[in-house]
Amino acid sequence: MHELKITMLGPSGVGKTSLLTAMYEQFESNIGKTNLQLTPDEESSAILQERLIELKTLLESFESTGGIEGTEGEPEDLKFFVFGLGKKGEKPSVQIKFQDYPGGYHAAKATPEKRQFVKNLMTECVAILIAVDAPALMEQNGKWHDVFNRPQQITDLFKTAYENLDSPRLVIFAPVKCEKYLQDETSAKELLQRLREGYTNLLDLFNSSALLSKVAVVFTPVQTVGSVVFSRIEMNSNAPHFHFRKTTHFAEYNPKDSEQPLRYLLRFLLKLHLDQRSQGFIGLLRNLFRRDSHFKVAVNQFAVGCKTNNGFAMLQGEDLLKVN
Amino acid sequence: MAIYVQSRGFSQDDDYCWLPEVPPIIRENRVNDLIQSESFSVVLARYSKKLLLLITGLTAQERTDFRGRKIRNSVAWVLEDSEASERELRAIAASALRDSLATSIDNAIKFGGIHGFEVAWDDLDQLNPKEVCNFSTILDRKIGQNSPTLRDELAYELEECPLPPEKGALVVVTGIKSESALIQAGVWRGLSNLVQAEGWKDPYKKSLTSEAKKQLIIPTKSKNNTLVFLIVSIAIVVVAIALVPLLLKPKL
Repeated sequence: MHELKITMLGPSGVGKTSLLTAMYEQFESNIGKTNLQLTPDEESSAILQERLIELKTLLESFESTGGIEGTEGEPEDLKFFVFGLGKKGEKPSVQIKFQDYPGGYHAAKATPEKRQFVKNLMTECVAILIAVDAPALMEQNGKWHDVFNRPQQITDLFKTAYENLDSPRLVIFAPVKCEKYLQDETSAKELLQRLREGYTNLLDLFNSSALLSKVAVVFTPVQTVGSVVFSRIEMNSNAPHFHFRKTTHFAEYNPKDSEQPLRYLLRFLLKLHLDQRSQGFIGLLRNLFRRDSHFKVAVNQFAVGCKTNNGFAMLQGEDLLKVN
Repeated sequence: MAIYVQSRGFSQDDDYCWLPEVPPIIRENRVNDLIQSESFSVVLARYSKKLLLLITGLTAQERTDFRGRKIRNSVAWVLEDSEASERELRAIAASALRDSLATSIDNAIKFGGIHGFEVAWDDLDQLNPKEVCNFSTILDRKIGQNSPTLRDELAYELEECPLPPEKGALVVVTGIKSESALIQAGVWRGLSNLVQAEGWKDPYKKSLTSEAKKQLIIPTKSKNNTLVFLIVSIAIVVVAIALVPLLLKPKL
């Protein structure tokens, strides 16, 4: 079965697991509208469901500082979240594997083995979601962006991983905890601008002649919980504590735009899958008899709902997401 | 006795790590494949004349990380395989299953040091769990849902009976792990949230081939579908080619 790997990228506590969980919550409602089905394996489904409950319990208290529990494990222990994707009622034809990992692998103290793990992962994954801590990027003039999001370290990782790149890739910048910054058009524009400034070197790398035609780049801000907004930063033992509060006492879990990275992701993955399936004589016959039309229709359906303004942007490589 | 502790410090740089090192026995035998390490898990295993007790997912009482997230502790004890060692580890495992170990372990771990946390190793060496007995073991392999009742029953069994003499993972208690994974590992006693049963399920027999059989069946079906599609497609193309001259032939 065709296999496509995806990973999240970001230092510890940025929100990689929360992003994956928020996207998982949208799987059914988005894919259910197409003629496709995405089927998680038993353990992946149960773990993500557990994380989702944890994300929802953040709303039990009016004010919070924490997120869902941190990820742990040695490289050899980490497991993929596995999903089968295919036509409804049929056996999946492509396997999608999401790899989450502890953000501590980016830390200065990380062992060479852990650093190598991240490098290998970036090389083998066709799509990478960069989780960006939006309050760190936006608050106090971005004072904490370098500390929490480590943009230069991430740029350096891409420099190595995308050397001599010979196949298409998708990179999604997904700022999380964006509730405060998507209130209106002006704040959304500011978020977009800060993202461009905060990741200038990385965007320049993607925009280089060697990568421009091979790497699609998208900005998709996500409101992970929807009803919890950033409130203030308190310093405690020289370390900043980001505080969040509910919009009202009765506010419920109501994530927004968490389907956006998923839509872009599925467009790209299905395009890759279609390209793979159209190769050779069998591929020719498949095209002749329109055996993969359900995939093509789905790509176009996902494309229709992809946002490209008010904080969202497709920076380059739109052709890499289009099917003929 | 070798003791290993996994926890984390407060700062972003001090993420989860094992001290003094990743227990080689866990790495070599891929013990973490049997558990969801972030949830409360207990593993008792025998590998290469050594006994392992691994307890994971013990939530710290007060320590939180830089994001305010509760920190988790894990501990591994590795002892030479002997009756005395086994009794000691069974007693600690039973105590963990009864939820009366987390505080003592947490009290032995503090923020500080180059990894962000430090361990009072002597405190972990002297947990003094209650004495266990050595009545005869019921050798049947059983799995069940990870519930307080079954955890308590298992704790009682560990306090009463020795482990079976075989090698491998003998006891696995964890959060999310499929029933088939526990059976595949041939555990003597296994509890997981994914086992669908009220109490213990009926004893099972160790089988190493069931998964392999399953894996063999799926690709065959897929191959057959592709083959049928290919044959039908070729047949249609051949018929089409054969029909072209007939269709193009001028009518008399």
